[in-house]
Amino acid sequence: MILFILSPLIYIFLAADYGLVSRILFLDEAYVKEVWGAFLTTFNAATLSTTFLILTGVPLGYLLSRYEFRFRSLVESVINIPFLLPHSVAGIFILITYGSKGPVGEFLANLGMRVEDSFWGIIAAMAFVSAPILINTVRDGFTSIERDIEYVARSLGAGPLTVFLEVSLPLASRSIVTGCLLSWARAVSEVGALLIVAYYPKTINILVIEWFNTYGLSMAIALTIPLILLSILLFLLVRKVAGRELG
Amino acid sequence: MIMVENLRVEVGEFSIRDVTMRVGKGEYMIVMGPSGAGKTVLLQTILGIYPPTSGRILVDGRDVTSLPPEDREFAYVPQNYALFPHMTVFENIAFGLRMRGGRGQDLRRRVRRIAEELRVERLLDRKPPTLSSGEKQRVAIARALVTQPQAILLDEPTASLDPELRFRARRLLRKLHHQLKFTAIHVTHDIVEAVMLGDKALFLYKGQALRTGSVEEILRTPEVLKHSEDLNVLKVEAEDREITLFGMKVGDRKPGKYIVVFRPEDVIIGEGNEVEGVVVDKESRGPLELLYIQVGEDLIKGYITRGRAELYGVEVGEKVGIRLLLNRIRIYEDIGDSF
Repeated sequence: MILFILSPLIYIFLAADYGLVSRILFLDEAYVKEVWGAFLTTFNAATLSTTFLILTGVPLGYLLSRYEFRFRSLVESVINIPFLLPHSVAGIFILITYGSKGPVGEFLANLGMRVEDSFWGIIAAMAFVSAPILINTVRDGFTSIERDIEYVARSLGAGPLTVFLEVSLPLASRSIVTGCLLSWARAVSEVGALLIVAYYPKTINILVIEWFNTYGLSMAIALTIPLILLSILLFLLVRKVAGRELG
Repeated sequence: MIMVENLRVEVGEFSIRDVTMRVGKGEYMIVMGPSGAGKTVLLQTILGIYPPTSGRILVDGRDVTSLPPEDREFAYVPQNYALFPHMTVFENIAFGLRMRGGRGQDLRRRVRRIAEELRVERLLDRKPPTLSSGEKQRVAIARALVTQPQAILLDEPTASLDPELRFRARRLLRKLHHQLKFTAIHVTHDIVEAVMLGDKALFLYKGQALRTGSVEEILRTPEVLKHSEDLNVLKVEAEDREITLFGMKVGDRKPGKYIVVFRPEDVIIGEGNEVEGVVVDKESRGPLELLYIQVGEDLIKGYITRGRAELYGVEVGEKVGIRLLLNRIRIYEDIGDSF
């Protein structure tokens, strides 16, 4: 199994034309602008998508870990829907709901946040597919904090918000950072929903598919090399954060 | 004064019913009972975690039943001490003061003073994961006491310590209580701990208070003894360097107060034994009968085989002779107030 996963990784580095890699990344003006533009679009959208998820997903993760309420398990199931959907279907979901003809999309379009073939569409698709990763990781992080720690803080005079900000949030910070990195990585790797919602502006994954179809395999491989290096870097970062001792 | 009146609490399937207790200012109250009796639920209801379905909690006449934990001025010390692992010992102790508006020089002075009292001043820059169990406990108590709360609520605070540290921890609690005269409500299932620390006790069983009173009174209650650990725990005094129990010499010690502990199987019941007691109750335990025997003012438990019980005609209300296996008796110094 390890070989099954590792072999393509090794082979792609062996098969890559590094002259071509430097041409598309640094030397050939015709490609450089398109490639770096796609990288920039991808990273900016993934970062904004993760920011949106932090603002909404961290409180939701805390709520799910700490409070019993009606329909709690229904809420948890809903959160995991994007895990189960084929991503092309997720794209259609977003398009019909948040697209300018959809019930919510019309309102968003009036605010200048049109989803079809736009930067906002990329953010919406990325946030939709990576939400379960962040929410579940954050929820598990809060759940692992002993309730007694929060009870002690309350008894010492801290209200619920202060307990959250001064005790729970710092203690869950490792899980939150891990959740952010994982959901950012998931957002960067998204392509299925983007093909439906926002082909333009092109993200790096869309460009890989386009180059594969237009220019052939060697150009597509050259474009995947920086993507793979970025994935490895992220993987190492996640391991470092997740494995770091508290304090 | 803390008054708990007719408290009823429901937590899932479990409920506490009509618990009433009164803890005077500076008193050390023990809430004892077997596992699953509802001791922690009662403590956390007083703390403000669980809302009661009926009843009241009063602090110096003020009804705090509907107040959140942060407005009740109790300080909580759970079994695992729940130190904030991301804060230093100083920050842990200062937390409560800071929440109540403490700042600057005054805050630092108060933290240092309580840290010296608890002998944790050299740990102030350390973080909790680097502390030993005993150090963690002292820091947790310092953090609870520094705000001078209405009461500190302790939930089995010595349960996670080894026997030697446990004894030291009880001694520390007793000493601090003697010096600082704080009010305490202390949950434990350990009878020895209850005897060593408690001014008063409440025995909880299946969510109901079976008995409230002094620890000695409680341990003389057959109903309590039936539902508590199979252990005889008695307070004695050593005179002339000898500890005697029921007229029998059980050890040599310097004059003072002691706690004598022995198991029911260390009580030999039969004719010809010099000490006499009266059987007040009995229950079957497999091939054995567990007898509740009144000896003078004390009530003890002892086992007898069914055959011997029949042979000696052991019945409730009848007299029996007893002797103790002296080499099995454990003697602890009763910490008392001798500091």
